[in-house]
Amino acid sequence: MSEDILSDTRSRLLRITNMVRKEVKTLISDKTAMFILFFIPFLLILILGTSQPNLEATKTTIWIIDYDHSERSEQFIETMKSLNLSLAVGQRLTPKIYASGEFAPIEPDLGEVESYGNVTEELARRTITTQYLDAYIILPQGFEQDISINGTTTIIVYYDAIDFTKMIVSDMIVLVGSSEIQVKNMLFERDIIYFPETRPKNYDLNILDLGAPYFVPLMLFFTMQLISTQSIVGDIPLRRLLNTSLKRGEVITGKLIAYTIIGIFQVLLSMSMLSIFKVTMHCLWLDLFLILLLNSIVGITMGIFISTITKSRLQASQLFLLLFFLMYINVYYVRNIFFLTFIPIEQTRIVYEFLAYRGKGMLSLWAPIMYMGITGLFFYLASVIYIKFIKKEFI
Amino acid sequence: MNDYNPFPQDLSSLHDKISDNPFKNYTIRDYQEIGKKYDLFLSEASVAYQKGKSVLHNISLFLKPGEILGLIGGSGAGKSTCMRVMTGQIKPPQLTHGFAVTAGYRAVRDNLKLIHQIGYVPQLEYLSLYEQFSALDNCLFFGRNYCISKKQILKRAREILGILGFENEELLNKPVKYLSGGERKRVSIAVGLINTPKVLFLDEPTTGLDPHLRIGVLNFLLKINKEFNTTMVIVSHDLEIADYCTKVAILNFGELAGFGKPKDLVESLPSHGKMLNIHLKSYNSRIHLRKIKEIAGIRYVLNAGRNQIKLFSDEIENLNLIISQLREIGLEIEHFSLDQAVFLEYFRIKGKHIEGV
Repeated sequence: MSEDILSDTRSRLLRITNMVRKEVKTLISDKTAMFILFFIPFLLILILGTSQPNLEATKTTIWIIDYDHSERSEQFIETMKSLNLSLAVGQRLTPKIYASGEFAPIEPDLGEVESYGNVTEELARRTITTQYLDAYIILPQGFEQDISINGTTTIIVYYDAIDFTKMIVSDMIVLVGSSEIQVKNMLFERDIIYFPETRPKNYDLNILDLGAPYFVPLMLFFTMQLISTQSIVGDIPLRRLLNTSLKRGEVITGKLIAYTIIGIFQVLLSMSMLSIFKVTMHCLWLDLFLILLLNSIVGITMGIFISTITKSRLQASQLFLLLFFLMYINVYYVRNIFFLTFIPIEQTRIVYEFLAYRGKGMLSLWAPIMYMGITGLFFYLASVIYIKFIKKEFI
Repeated sequence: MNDYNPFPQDLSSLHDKISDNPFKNYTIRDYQEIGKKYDLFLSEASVAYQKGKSVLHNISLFLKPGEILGLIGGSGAGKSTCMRVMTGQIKPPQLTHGFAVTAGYRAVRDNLKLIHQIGYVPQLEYLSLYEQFSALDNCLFFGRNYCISKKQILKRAREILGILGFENEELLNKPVKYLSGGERKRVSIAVGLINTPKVLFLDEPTTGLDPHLRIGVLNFLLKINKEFNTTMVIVSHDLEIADYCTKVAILNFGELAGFGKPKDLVESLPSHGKMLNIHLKSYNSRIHLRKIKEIAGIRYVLNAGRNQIKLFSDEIENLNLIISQLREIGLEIEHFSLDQAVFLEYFRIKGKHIEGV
């Protein structure tokens, strides 16, 4: 009896190994899959790693209408003009500031190439709708007097709220500028302390370093899931294969292992790229590797599940896109707490941040890791059950 | 309902049990006795995918080791369903009656053991082979699922592929996607044989091939059959396979219209398959057919092209009488001959592709 069980286990292992070998070989010979799995992450990391965060591209223009004409209002304007925002936010941001009496670019009339207008409140009101002006600040009469008497004063700011990005950037500039003035007047030194202390000291951060916890898990998850959605539905000779001793559950296990092997190389490539670009990593390299691999494995199980329940390659791709968008929308917009718990890219981001940026250990992050494990296990079991008992094409 | 009850005489002791209730009355020993004598034994099998809608009705077939069975019929005749019963893919409740013993195992109950004893060659090889792999790699991959060692598989694969005409190394290692239709078909057959099956099932092995390739593939199958004594079941709608089969079963709308050796089947026609092949000056079936049918002794009339008919009669030797009666009904005969019918005529009659009685 025990010999039978041993022999059965051995046969099972042999069949799964055979499946893994075949699947890896098939994947490697699939140029498109290799392109998606290796070249796209390589290219994306390369682009992100060599790019500096640059909000200059937004070309933010702010006007200051000064009704006070005082020493303090002049100081305000000068401070705004001399803002060095690259130091304050770690990004190079050089807004164009125009004050009352100066000529600023405005929307040209028909036939004109460029046009300039004298900065006034009335012109500002007209120009703010034209994209030539992103915000204007009014320094009312009594601006200096209020500071002298009350220690506080009022400024009025109008934003072009249609362009959301520009509005955020303008708001940031106004806030930074006004806090600079407060600092100068309140007689205390501004000192920015980064917390935690593990935050890098160089200010030439690349986008990859800022966004690795978002970009890297998303990219690995997306590519692995995309490729594995074709694993069952695209394996046309599988039906014949199931006329041999191969069991349906073994197909799922074999495919999962095969894709995981490819996933290991994909994660290694990505992590090597992260190392090349000196992305912050205050944790064990192995810890980050394991968590990224787990992220990929969950992506694979979801992909295999999609592939199992669909009947054609097209259907699988459609379902993949639908699920991916649902996850994406929930992570970046809706943020429904319950669903976030089981969305691997969200859990990986949390773990990545804690591991790489806060220098925490894996054990302290058991909860998100467990959620990822549960999600992966659920989709694996669901695939096995579906292919065994429900998938009619194979029955 | 068909007229066939082809229960083999050497198992007549089991017949009464079958008629009664084989599921209850048969013992393991009975099945073993069947398995010893027959590689394929399908007894009174009926299949209904939906309640009350029978797609296979009371089919009985049997095949001794080394024999080749041609399962012939039109689309929807039940050929594939019949094959799926034999391979244990259809189980109760769809299998409403009957049983199959294949390669010595009960198809339904011993399915896991049966899988090791049968081979299957699907209809479309481009859907059943890994195209990026070579012929040897395909054999290796499929063979490993039977837990056979790599060395054994490669040895077997080279042997089979050698018989199938893959003699040079380049062809053996060429990805399947670069092979011709006939070569792919042969690779598919080799894959089906990789586990040294007792019974090989081939689904439409000649479909989609040029005539010379069709004959080539059938000749290769004969070679394999002789070399390994493999019992084969060939599902096809090509009548030419009958020339290569030991036995032929004709299925017609889920019923068995004929089963036996092709020669015996042809000889079961009136006058042992002798027919009168008549070329007429003019013939209009709408006018003349009814009149021909009224001639005494005429059993079947087949249209055989422009102004040509083939007559089957119980009294075919009485040529002059038939000819004079044909003249009496106004048919002008150019010439005629007395020929031996071939399987095509038998199929046309039993497959109900028939005009006449």
